[in-house]
Order: sequence, then structure tokens, then C-alpha cells
Amino acid sequence: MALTDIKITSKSEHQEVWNLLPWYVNHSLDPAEQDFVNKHAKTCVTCRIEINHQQQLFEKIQQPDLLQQVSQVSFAQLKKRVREQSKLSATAEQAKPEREQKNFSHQFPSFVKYTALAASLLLLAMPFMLNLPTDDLELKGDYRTLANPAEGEHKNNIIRIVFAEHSGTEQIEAILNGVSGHIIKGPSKNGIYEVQIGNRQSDSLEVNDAISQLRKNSLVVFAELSHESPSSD
Amino acid sequence: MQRSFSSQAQQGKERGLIAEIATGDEHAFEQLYQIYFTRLSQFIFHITRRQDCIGEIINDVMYVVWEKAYTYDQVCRPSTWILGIAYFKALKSTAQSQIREDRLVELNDELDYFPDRGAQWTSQLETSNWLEAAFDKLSTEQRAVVEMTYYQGLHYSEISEIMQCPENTVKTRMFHARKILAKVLPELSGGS
Repeated sequence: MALTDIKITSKSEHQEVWNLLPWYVNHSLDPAEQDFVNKHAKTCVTCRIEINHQQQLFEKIQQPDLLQQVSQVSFAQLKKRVREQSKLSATAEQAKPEREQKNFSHQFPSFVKYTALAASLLLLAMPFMLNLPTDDLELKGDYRTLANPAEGEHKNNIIRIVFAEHSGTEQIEAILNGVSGHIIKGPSKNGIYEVQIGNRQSDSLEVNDAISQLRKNSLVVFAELSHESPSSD
Repeated sequence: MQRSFSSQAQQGKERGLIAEIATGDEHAFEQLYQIYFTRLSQFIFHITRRQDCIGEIINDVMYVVWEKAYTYDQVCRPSTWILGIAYFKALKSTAQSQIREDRLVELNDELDYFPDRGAQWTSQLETSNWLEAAFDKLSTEQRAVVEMTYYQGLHYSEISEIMQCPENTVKTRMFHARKILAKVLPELSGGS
């Protein structure tokens, strides 16, 4: 019984000393703890060897300066990154055929798109290629702007008007009455009215005045002299 | 071997500086900053293992010192107070960065993490520093204990105060860290 107690005490003491050794070598133990370790180490070979190891470790750890340590760790991280990149590249190389197949499937819609575009351009160019007359009324009427009115080509008193969406029938009639106009056609599906100003003898000055007056009205979105025959929309 | 920064004279000087900082003395603050810059750089680097955040954490720590100097009770060492702030700032930074994996290996067998020489991972080390490789195998808490013991020369009771944990926890962390570090001793000694 007594022998067992001594062994347990001894083992416990050894463990306690063993745990104190890092602070024994950094000289931070208080005098009592230091004596305790010294006393035990005199009879314990294991702890003496460990003190030696701890001392080596303590010295080795303290040797490199901070900058050196920082550079070592930085380089280790860089090396890891390089290796990871190499692995990724290798994996990507293996997966290449599969990706190429996928690319083909992605390219197909592009092919269709470009073919359609080429066909459209060809259609647009057809009149020029076939040397057709360029004064096609349909194209001419659709793309006329206020900046290039073809004055003098047509002399008429027909104007095209677009009213604001919320304009009522009565409001439209009142506006047109104000300029002696009456609807001869419309509204089209795009909301365009063709309106004759005055009668057939009305001159261009009267028509221009009417247009100016209409444009001042907030319910009139668009008002312009028509350059087409009244039949077309 | 104990570092000069733990001497009584040094502690007295630092206590005086902190008292002056509490009154808003910027000159004293600059002096304390210069005294602790290298020490904190090393401390933070060993815990976080990152160099890019050192300056930022140091300034965070010293900002707290500036703001809270009047709360320093003069009972514990100035280094205990300042390193305590630095420890938690470093832990917070490590957690936020999420670069490092959770390496709380204290309850695991370290041999799994640090296999015998001849295993594949050892050949990958090539010429890199064995000690740095071993440090990478330690958990943040283990590294902190090792740092404060071997670099800062602190007593385990002071470390427990800084880490706000029981003294036995400090010893346990060191016990497991020693098992890992022991693996590199032959390499450090230049043995085969």
C-alpha cells in the first residue's frame, strides 16, 4: 500500500515537473517552483533529457528575427499557391475535351444569329444589287425627319398628328376646330391622324400656322406636314 | 535569459507611461507605441501567422490602450494588460479572415497531423523551415501559449491571465504543442 502511494506520488510529481519545463527554461518560474524542478531532475533522466530538448527548442525558436520568419511564412504561402495553381491547371487540362464539346453547343446559337444577320443585310442590299429605283414610297415615308423635309415635292394641306394618349374625342375635335382642321383618316394603329387644314385652296402659310399652333398644345405629341398621298399610313 | 522587457525597471517605466497616457499625453503614448511595436509584431504574427494584418492589429491594440489607459489598475504587469488586448484582437482577426482552418487539435492525436518522416507531406517541405511547418500544425491557442512562453518569456500564470483561462488549460495546451514541436527537434538539430 505504502509502495503504491509512493509510486503514484512519484508519477504525479514527474508529470507536474514535466509540465513546468517550458517555463523552467524560460526562467519565469518562481524560486520554489525552480527548486522543485531541480530536485526532481537530479533523479529523473527523462526530465533531464527533456530539459535539454526544451533548451534547444527555446534557443532555436528565438534565433530567427521577425523579418526572416515573415519571409519564410510568406514564401511558404506563395509556394502553396503555386502548387494549387498547378493542380488546377492540370485538372483543367484533363477536362478540356469535355469543355470543347460544351463550347460547340454554345457556339451553335451564335452561328444561327450571325447567319440571320447576314441574311437580313442581304435582303436590305437587294434593291441596290438589283438596281431598283430608290424612291420607294414606303421607305421614304417611314424614315423622313423634321430635319430634312422634302419641301416642294408635294404641295398639300394634309398634316399628320399624334395626340397624347389621354386625349378625349371632344378635346381632339376642339383642337382641330381651332385650326380649321378635320380628320380625313385615322387614327392608325400607331395613333396617327391625317388632318386636312381648311379647304383645298388653303395655302402653305395657313397650314404652317396651323402646325405651329398645334405644336403649342400640350395634348399634341406630334404634328407635321404630310409628304405623302393621303392614302398611305 | 529572461527578456529585458520583463524587468522591474521596465515595468515601472511602462506603468508610468500608461499613467501619463491616461492624462492624454501623446508623447508618452508614442514612447509606449515604440516600445511595444516589435514585441506586438512578433506576438501577433505568431498567433495569426499572417503578416498583412500586423500593422492594423497593432494600431487597434494601441488605440484601445490610448482610450482605456485610465482603466489600467496598475496591479497586473503592463505587458499582461497590453498582450491581453493583443491576444483577443489577434483571435478576432484570425476568425474574421477565415483563411486558416480550425486547428483545435488538442483532443486529437497529433500524429495524424504530423506523421513520421518519410510520409508524403514531409517530402513536400523541401527546404522550407521545419519550425515554421511545425508552427502551422499548432492551433491558434497552442501557438499563443508557445509564443508567450518561448518568445515573451512569460510565466504560465501570466499567460492564463492574458488568455483568460485556467492555468491547467495553459499547461495542457503547451503539453500538446510540445508533442508536435518535438517532432522537428531532430531536424532543428541537423540530425538525419
